[in-house]
Amino acid sequence: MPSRDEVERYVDETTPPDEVVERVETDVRAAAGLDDEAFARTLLAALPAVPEHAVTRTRARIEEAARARQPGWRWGWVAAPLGVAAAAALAVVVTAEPAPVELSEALSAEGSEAESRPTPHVRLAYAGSGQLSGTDQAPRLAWETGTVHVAVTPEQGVDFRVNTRDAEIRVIGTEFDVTRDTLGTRVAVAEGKVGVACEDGSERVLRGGESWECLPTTAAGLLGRARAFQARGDHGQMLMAAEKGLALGGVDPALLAELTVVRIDGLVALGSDAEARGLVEKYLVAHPGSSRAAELRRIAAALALQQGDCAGAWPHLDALPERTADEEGWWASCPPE
Amino acid sequence: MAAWSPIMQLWLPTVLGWCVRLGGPAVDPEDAAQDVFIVAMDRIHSLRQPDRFGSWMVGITRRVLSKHRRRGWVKRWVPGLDITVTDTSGRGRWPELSETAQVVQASLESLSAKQREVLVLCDLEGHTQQEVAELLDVPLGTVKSRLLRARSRFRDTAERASTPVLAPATSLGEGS
Repeated sequence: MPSRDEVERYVDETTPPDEVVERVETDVRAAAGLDDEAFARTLLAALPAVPEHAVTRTRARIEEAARARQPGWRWGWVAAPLGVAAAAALAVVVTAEPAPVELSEALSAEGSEAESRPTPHVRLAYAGSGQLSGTDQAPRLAWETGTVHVAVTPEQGVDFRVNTRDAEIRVIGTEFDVTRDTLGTRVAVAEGKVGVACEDGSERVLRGGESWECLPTTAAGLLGRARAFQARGDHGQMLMAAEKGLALGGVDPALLAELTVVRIDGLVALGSDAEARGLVEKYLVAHPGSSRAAELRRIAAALALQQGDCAGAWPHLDALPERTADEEGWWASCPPE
Repeated sequence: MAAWSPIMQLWLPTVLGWCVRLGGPAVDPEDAAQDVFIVAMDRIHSLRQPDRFGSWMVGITRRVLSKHRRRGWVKRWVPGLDITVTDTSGRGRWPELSETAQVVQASLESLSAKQREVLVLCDLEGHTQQEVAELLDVPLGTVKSRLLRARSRFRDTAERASTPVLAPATSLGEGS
């Protein structure tokens, strides 16, 4: 049994004043005739809104806590239509990036398109191969070959970059395609804005509907481009690519020979036989031991014969390690004087 | 931080309200609301459907409250912890709660966390049962059954709770 003191203390602490008893009794009894739902709604309505000072105090605490975590935070915004509160729609949200998430993913899809969603704000659909790295706020895609369609949610503070051998494409909120193949790197922007910096030093900002192409900058890359155009029958582009490659300094001799052959093919295809023949002659004098010497001699001989220059053709035919039947005939009909 | 201002402006009263109504007696609503926003700031990049921001915040609030309730339970029952669990609900800091509101709040706190959720969201905040089902990510039938039981129990408790207020000392000593 409690002592008398305990009873008195309990009564002092728990007995409400008379007016309180009346108020509570009135509220509860007023709801007593209602069904359970109406009863609950009626009584719950007695709960006041959260006091303003509590909101202010809590807000200050949150801001202080957030500041204490500042170093890793970055802010942006995202639209956020809201549903729960009676206040309904709202359109601002934030990106908070306390600790960047490291990304590492090898992308490879040959023959069919694959999709990757490395972060909530980046979607990649691709057919080809590349390597994703960086962080969720700064993804980096080294794209080797094929086409990748990139969609980055706008205004999320995502600094997405695609690097190919020919270009760096920088994105802040857009959708675009990057195609990397032997022709180079082509960027086509569906919407938004993209900055393209080509390896050759040219830069351009593309907007929705625009596209741009970054050419290869190495001799091997330009040779690949030239051959790709050769396969398409586009001899003008083929010639331009080959000449661009030949204009580079310090080109490997084997690549130099290949580029020369392609250039000569281009000249011939475009009807510039004399120029082609002059190029061959010049090249063979400078590079008699070229790996493509035999083929170039055949071309030189054919061009000379076409121009009725039998004497000019004969040394080339004579120097061939092996001659075809046609070449034997030409060689026999064009004896040295 | 500035970017969060409009969000807090709109959502802090709501989240704080949830923490008060849904937290239960062992949860300090201001502590919990703070944790809810810190978690939201941490995880905002994982929000895949911005139009479901409300549902996302409800989910975070539920998890934070659950964690706070566990923490309160541990503090209360694990010997040796230096704890003061009296009135951790924060009500002591909000003296303007009316007496009737305190009875209602106590009745709410007598419900299970799941019952409290549906009762508060439906009968206090005015959401439809379908909306609550989406917010809590549970089937509509579950909301209905929980709500039925919650209303019934809330009524019983509220009606009972008014009795000791009316006659607080009459049963003192019984069973002791």
